[in-house]
Amino acid sequence: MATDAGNAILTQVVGGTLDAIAQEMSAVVTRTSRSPLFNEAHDFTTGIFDLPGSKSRLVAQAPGCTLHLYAVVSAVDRLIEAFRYDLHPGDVLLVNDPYHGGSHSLDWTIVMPVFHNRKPMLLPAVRSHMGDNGGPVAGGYNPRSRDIWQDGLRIPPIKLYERGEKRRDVFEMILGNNRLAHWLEGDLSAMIGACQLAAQRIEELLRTYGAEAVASAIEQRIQYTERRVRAEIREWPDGVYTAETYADHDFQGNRDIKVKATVTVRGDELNIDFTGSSPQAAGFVNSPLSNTASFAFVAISTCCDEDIPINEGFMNPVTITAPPGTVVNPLPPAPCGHATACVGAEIAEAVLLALSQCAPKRTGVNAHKLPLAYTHGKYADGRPWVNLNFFGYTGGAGAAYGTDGWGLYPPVMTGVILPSIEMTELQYPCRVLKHEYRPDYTGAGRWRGAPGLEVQIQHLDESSTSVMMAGVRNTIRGFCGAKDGPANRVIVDFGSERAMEVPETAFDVRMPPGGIIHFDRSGGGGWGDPLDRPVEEVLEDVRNEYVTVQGAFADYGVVIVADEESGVVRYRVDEAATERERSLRRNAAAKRK
Amino acid sequence: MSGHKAIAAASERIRDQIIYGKFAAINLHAGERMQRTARSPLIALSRRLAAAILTPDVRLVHQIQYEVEHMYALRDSVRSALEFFAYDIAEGDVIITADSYGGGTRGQVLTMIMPLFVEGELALFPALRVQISDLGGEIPGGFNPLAYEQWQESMRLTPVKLYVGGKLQRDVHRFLLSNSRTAEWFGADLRALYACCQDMQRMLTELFDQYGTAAAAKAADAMIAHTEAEARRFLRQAVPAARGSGSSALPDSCGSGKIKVEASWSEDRLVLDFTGTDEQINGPYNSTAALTKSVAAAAALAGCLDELPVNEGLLSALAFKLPEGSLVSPQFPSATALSGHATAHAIAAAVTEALRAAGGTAEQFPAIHGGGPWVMLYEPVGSPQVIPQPMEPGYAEVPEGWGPAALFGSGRLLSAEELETGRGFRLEKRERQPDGSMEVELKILSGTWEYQAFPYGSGSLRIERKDAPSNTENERAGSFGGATVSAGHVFRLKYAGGLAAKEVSSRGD
Repeated sequence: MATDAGNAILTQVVGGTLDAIAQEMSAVVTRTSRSPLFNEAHDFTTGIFDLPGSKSRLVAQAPGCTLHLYAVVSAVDRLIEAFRYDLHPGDVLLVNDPYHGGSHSLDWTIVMPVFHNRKPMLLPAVRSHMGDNGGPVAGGYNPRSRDIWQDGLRIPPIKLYERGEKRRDVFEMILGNNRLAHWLEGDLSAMIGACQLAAQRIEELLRTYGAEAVASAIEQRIQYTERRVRAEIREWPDGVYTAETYADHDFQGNRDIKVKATVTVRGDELNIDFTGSSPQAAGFVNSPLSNTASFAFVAISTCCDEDIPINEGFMNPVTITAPPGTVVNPLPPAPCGHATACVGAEIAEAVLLALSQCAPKRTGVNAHKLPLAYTHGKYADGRPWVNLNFFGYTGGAGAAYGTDGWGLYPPVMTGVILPSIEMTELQYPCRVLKHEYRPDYTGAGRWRGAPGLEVQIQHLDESSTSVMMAGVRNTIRGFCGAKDGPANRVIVDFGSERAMEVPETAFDVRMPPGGIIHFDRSGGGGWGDPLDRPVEEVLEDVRNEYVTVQGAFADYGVVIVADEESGVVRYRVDEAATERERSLRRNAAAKRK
Repeated sequence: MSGHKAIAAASERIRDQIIYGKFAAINLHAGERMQRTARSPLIALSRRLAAAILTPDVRLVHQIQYEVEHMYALRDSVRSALEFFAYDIAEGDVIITADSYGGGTRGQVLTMIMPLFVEGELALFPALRVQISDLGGEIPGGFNPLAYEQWQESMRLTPVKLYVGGKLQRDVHRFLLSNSRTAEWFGADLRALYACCQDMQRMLTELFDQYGTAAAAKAADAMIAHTEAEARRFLRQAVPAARGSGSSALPDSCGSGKIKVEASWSEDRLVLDFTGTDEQINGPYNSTAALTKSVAAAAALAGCLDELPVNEGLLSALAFKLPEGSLVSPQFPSATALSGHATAHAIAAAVTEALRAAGGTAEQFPAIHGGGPWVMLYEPVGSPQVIPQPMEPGYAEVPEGWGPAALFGSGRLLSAEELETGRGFRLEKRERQPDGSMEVELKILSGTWEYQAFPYGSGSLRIERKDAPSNTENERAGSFGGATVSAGHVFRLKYAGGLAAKEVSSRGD
C-alpha cells in the first residue's frame, strides 16, 4: 500500500516535472523568438516524448496550439527512423515535410534526443508555425498549389546540429530558402534553445530519481490517462455513429470536399474510420495522416475531463482508419499547404458530430474554418514582411454543453494568443481600424457560439494580399439542434472602387497604400435548441450587444421590448409574447418531425 | 640567354604545354563522361555543363563549357562556396551550390566542387557545373515567367557539403532529392557528377605524380599569363582607340528593360561599363553579375575564343562596371531564371554594337546573340510524375550563316527520333527556308501537357488549337498555370535567319 502510494506520488511528481519542463520550453520560445507568430501569437507547441521501443510516445505537453499536438508524434517517429543508425547526444533534428510525418510544410518540428545509457530515452520537441517557407507565395499559403513543391520548401529529416556542433552550411541553406531569414534564424535558435534547456532539466530529473523510476512513472502516467479515457468511452453507448461535413472547395474549382467519419464505440475502445471521404484533392487541402490523427486527437481530448494529463494514453484506446489516396491520407505529391485549417477543421468537426450522437453532452463545436488573408510587402529598408492578419480570422469559438463559446479561437487553436494590436502596428505597417463583436453573427443555440467579429485592417504601404476562404457555404456546424455559424466574408480594398468580395480565393491582390481588408468573421456554432436558451440569457446578450432585438426574436423566439426614458434605453422581455412565440415554433417543429 | 638556358626554357615551355594539354584533356574527358553517365537529357543531350580545374586560390586553370553562361559563373560559384567554408575544408569533402547570388546565374544550375589535397595541402582541384532538370519551385523546370523572387523559381542551394571527409551526408542528399520533381534523375546526376569529379581527381593525382604539383601549378600560371596577353593583344588590335557605345532592349514580351554599355580602355584593359542600364525588374530577367560578365566577355572575345582556352587569363582580359541593383547586376532576391534566354542576348547585342562602334569589324566581333522561341512542356502539375521537357527544336541562324548563335550553346539539337520514341511528340517539320529561317512543327502525339511558351527572339511561336485552327496570334510568354495541349496540338516555331547584324543588334533579338 505504502509502495503504491509512493509510486503514485512519484508518478505525479515526475509527470508534473515533465509538464513543467514543457512549459518552461514554451516560455523560452516565447521570450527568445523573433517572429510575432511565436512571441505574440504563440502558434507553437512544446512537448516531451519517450522512446520505449521504436515508436515514440507523447509524454508531456505544454498548452500551445492544440492542432499541432498529436501531429508531432509522427514527426518524431520519422526523425528517429531516419537517423536510427546515426543518432548521438547533442544532435538536433528538424523536419517539416508532410510526407515525413509533418502536417503542412509551414509547421516545423525540432527534436533533441536526451540519452541515457547510450540510448535516446526522452525527446523534447518544439513544433512551430513559421512565418514563411520559401516557395511561390510569401507566408507559405499558395492557393494555386497543385503539388507539394508548390506548397514550399520540403525539409525531410535533417540534422541542424551533430554531436553538439552546429552544421553551419545546413543551417544557412535552410535560411537561404526563407523570405524571413532575419526572423527564422532567431526562431530556430529559440526552438533549439528550448530543447537544450529541456535536455538539462531532463538530465537533472534522471539524476534525481534514476532512469528506471522515471520510465516507470511515465508508464504509470500514460496508463492513468488511458484508464481515464477508457472510462470516458465506456460511458458512451456502444454503436456506430456516422457524420459527414464539407470543406467549401479545394481552391482548384472542386467544391464540397467531403470528410466522413464513422465512429465505432465498442466497450472502452474507439475506431474512427474516414472511409467515404473524398479522394485526395487537386488543391492544397489534403491532410496527411499525421494531421488527420492530430485533429481526431483534438476532437477526442475535448470530450474528456480537462484534468486528464495530455499524453499518449489519450490515443491508446483509439484506432484510425484513413484510406490512402483520400483527402485525409493523401499520396505524394498531393499538396497539403492548407491542411491545418482546411480540411483539418472538417476532420475535427466530423468526428465530433459523430460523437455528439452518442455523447452529446461531452461534445462541443470545435472547427475553425478560417478566412485567411495574408498580406506581404517590404519595409523601407527592403526587407520583406508578411502579415498573417490574425485579427481577421480570430473567432469561431463555438458552444459546448453547458457553456457559450468564449474567447476567440475554438479548442483546435487553444493556446494561440491574439497578438496585441499595439505590437502588431509596430511590427507591420498597418493599423487595425476595427476589431469588434458583430451582433447576430454567431450560431444560436441553447448555448450560443462566441459572437462573430467585424474587423478592418489597413496597410499603410503598398501591399499584396492573397485570400483563402473557408466557412462560406459550409459554415461551422451547430450541434444537437443548434444553428450553424454564419458565413465568413472578406472584402479586399474595402471602401474603394476596386473593392472586391472574395467568395473562394484571390491571389496576390495589390492594394495601394492605405488599402483596407474587411472581415466579417463568423462566430462558432451553437449547442442545443435556441428555443431552450433561458430568456434572461438572451436578454443579457441583447444588453451586451451580442444579439439584437430582432435577432433575439428571429433566432431565439424571445420578444424584447425597448423602453426609452430620458435618453436611456432599457430592455425587458415580454414574457407572454415570448412564451407564445416559442410554443408556436416548438409545435411547428414537432409537426415537421 | 646561353644555349643551355635557351634549351631549358624551351623545354619548360614544351612541358608547360604538355601539362596544360593534359588539363584540357581531363576536362574534356569529364565533359564527355558526364554526358554519357547523366540521366537528365539537359546534360546528356543538351550538354548544359562545364568542367574545370582551379587553383587553390580559386583561379581558373582551364575550363571546357558547352554554354557561354559558365564562363565566369563556375569560378565565381566556386569562390563563393570556398569563401563560405573558409577554414573548414578537408580531404573527402564535396561541396555543392546552386545559388544565383553566390556567383551563379540561375537557380537550377548546380556546381559540384571536389577539393583535392596532396600531402595535406590543397592542390589544383576539379569542379563541374550542370543544369538540373527540376529543383522544385512553382513551375516544373524552374522557368517561371511570372516570378519576381528567387523562391518562386526553384529551391535555393547555398553552399553545402554533400560529402564530409568522404562520407555522404544522407540527410542533405535526402533534402536535395525531396525538393526535385525528378528525384530519380537528380540522384543519378549527382552520382554522375561525383564519379566524374573523382575521376578528374584521379587523373590530376596521376599528373602530380608524374610532374609534381609545382610543375603543374607553373604550367597553369604560364598558360594563364599567355592567354591573358593574347586576349588583350586581340582586343588592342581590334579596337585600338576604343570608345564605343551600344544599347539594346529586352524583348517586348519580357517587359521593358534597356541595356547600355560603353567600351573604353583603362590603362591596358578594356572596360565594359554598363552604367545607364535600367534598374532590375520585377520579372525573371535579371542577369546576375556572373552571367553578365560571361556573356559580355564572350561577345567581346568571340573573334579569338576558338584559339584561346577559357581560363583566368581570359577572364582577366576585361574589366566590368556593373551598377548594383541594375538589370545586369541585380540584388537578392530578384528572379533570374529566364535571363539566359532573353537578357543575355540583349547584353551580347549591346556589347557587340559598342565594340563595332569603337572600330571593330564584324569579323572580329561576330554576333553571338540571336535567340529563338522555345516551349517547356510537362505533365499537369500534381500528376504522379512530372518531368519537365524543354523543347527548343530549332535555332536562329547567325547572319554569317554557319549555324546558331554562340549563346545557343553547343548542345545537340533535339533528335526527331528520340522525341517520337517514348516521349509522345513528333517533329513533323524542321526545314530551312529560302530566306534562311527555320520552320519547325512539333506535334503532340499523346497525353495532356501543360506548357510555358517563350516566344523570344526574332521568330514566332504559334499553337494550333483544335478549337481555333485559324488562330494566328503569337503565343505570349507569361501564360501561367494550367494552359494545356493534348494529342493533335501542334507547336509551330519559326526561327529567324540571315538578318543583318545591325538589325539584330538594335532589337537585341
